[in-house]
Amino acid sequence: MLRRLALASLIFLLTATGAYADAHVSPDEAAAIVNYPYVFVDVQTGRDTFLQLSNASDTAVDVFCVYEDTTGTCANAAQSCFENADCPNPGTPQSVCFPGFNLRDFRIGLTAGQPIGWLASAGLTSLPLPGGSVPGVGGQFRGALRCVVIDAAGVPTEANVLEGVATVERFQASPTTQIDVGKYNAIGIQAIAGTGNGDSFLVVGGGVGEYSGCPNVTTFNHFFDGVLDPVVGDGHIHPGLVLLPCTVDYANQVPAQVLVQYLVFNEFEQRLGTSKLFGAQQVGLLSAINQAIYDINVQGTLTGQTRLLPLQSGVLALAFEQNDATAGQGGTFTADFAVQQMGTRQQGDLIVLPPIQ
Amino acid sequence: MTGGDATHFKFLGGRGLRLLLLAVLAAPVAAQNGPSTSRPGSILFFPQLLVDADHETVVRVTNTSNSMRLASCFYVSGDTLQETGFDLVLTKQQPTHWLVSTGRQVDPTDRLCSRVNGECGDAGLDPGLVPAMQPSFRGELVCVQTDESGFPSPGNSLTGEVTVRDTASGDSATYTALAVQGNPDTFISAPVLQLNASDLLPNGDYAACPQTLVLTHLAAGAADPLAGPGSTVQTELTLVSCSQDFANRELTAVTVGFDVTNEFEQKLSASIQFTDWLSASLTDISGVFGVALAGSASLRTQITPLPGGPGVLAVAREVHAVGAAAPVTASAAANLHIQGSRADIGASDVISLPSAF
Repeated sequence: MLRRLALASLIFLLTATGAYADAHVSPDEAAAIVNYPYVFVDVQTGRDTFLQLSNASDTAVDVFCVYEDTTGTCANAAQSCFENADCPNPGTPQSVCFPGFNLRDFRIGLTAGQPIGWLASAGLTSLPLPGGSVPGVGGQFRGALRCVVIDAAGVPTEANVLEGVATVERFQASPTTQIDVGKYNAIGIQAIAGTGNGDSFLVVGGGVGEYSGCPNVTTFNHFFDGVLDPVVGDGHIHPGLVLLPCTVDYANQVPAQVLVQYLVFNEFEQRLGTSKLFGAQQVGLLSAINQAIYDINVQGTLTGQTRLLPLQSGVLALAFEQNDATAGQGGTFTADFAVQQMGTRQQGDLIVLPPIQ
Repeated sequence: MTGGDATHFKFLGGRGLRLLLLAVLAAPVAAQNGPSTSRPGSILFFPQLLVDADHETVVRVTNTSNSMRLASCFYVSGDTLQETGFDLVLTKQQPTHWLVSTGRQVDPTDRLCSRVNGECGDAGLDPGLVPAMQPSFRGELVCVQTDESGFPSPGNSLTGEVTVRDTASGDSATYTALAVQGNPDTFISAPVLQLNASDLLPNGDYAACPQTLVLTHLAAGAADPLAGPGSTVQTELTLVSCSQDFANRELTAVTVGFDVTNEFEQKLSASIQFTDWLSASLTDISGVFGVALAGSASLRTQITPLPGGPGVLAVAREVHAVGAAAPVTASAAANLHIQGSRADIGASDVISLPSAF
């Protein structure tokens, strides 16, 4: 009897492992949770984000979304900020931008196969077909957007049907016309069939997960900071990175705190390392993580590979690069691109939803 | 083995243990369910490279493993369909790069890069001789991970990125190479790669191409959401066949169908035929993508290869233009979403490498 029980348990374990491997965290496939790691609006500098969300299924779905606003507040003035340099007296110890964590949620319905799109600043007063509305985030916003598939009762479901795309833009009409666009796919976290318990605690990975686990190691290839543009020749390239924790507590409005370890390889296979702590979201150039190890004067080769290992929570990442070419229209050109994942975190992550109306 | 382990296995008995070991050994390493931008792979597809008077392309390839890795790469001209092959050797964790127009020379005395020295394009461990594709080139690049004898080796170590630059304006668009994961447990005895694996059929050699690609985009000629009237957005779609015959250059005829859904859930369709590689604006492919016919700005287009034909992979490049006479432009590259696996419907693709002689 015991022998049969043990064998049955192990076969179940193998089967369960197979089911786990079928779900993915990926920007390539429709999923039950989609994460837009970077949404940016600053009307003063002509920046906004065009968000697109599609229902990949043949049936209508309900979707619950949360904007996470990480726009900060200056320590030395009552004003909003994105970086320390945005505050009065930049460079002084008092000029510190404390990151915020404010939430704004909404619920919409998408019909079969329906795509919708909206500017983050303005939202959508009403969807093209009856399905609710999307609030605008206003004229100054930096943060993220996550959307979860739910049923009519507001219970999270296992339907891997959401596809997201974001276009981050900068446009100024005068004194000279300038436009810059970067585009990325939202990162999907697929539900694992047969594991959802319908509560507001969404378990992401960790062996007992209802959703596929976040990556263990994230890796991407990038230029080193300050390299002379190898194509245009008269500007420099500045690589950057956006990180969003996989763990987030919307019910109590508590962001995660994540220490991330970085290993950086140049084209000579030489390795340097660093680490950095962040909270609700990390947005910035690689040189802001550690100026020395990402500097072209230190590394000596055009490109490098960064491998990052998060500790307390998994992370979802998006890479970008800025070219400050002075030719043509001038200004900065930005390109966003997907990063690669290696392995899945052993520890699970948790997304805690608030009560959904 | 601990005493506890011994007792545990004793419950299984001899036959149970053998069954378990058989199950564990036979269980293949699950591959991503199709080509992915989020996992290292054994085959890299770079669908769109562009070199002409106004454009340059930078290719980046990284070995993400802790051992030396080799790859056989093939440029394929989209105009002549002629291939140009070369080999890469990457030490552990080594990133490398080259400009398509200049390639990469083997010279251990290359000068190091700095903020003021741009004559350093080949600094780093030379990955091998990469041919210069001059004076113009538009087409694709495919890299296959190999062993020392040149045979395919499904080690899933390679990642890649491509940046297409506008040499006049400095504008850039970056996308992540589509990585096809191999089954590390498979033994490949001929230079022929079968793309026939999926999550449901994990015993194949390499992940099969998707049943359907999904492009989330703006209607051709629609106004830029931020710039408004007087601006336009056009999307250029590049499609490549998943079946590639680098040994005999037998060309592959491809037919794909387009199913377009607008924000009102209205559907339109179109189709196109091509040989091996196609790069065209949506306007040139069909009028159904045009803003006048499509009926809404945001569209979701499913791209499905004809049954019986080869699978396809794709990238898109979106060009935003402001002004009529001398428009100011910016572009962004986008990877598409994927749906399903061709392996699950009994379809597969084949990549044939040239034999050593």
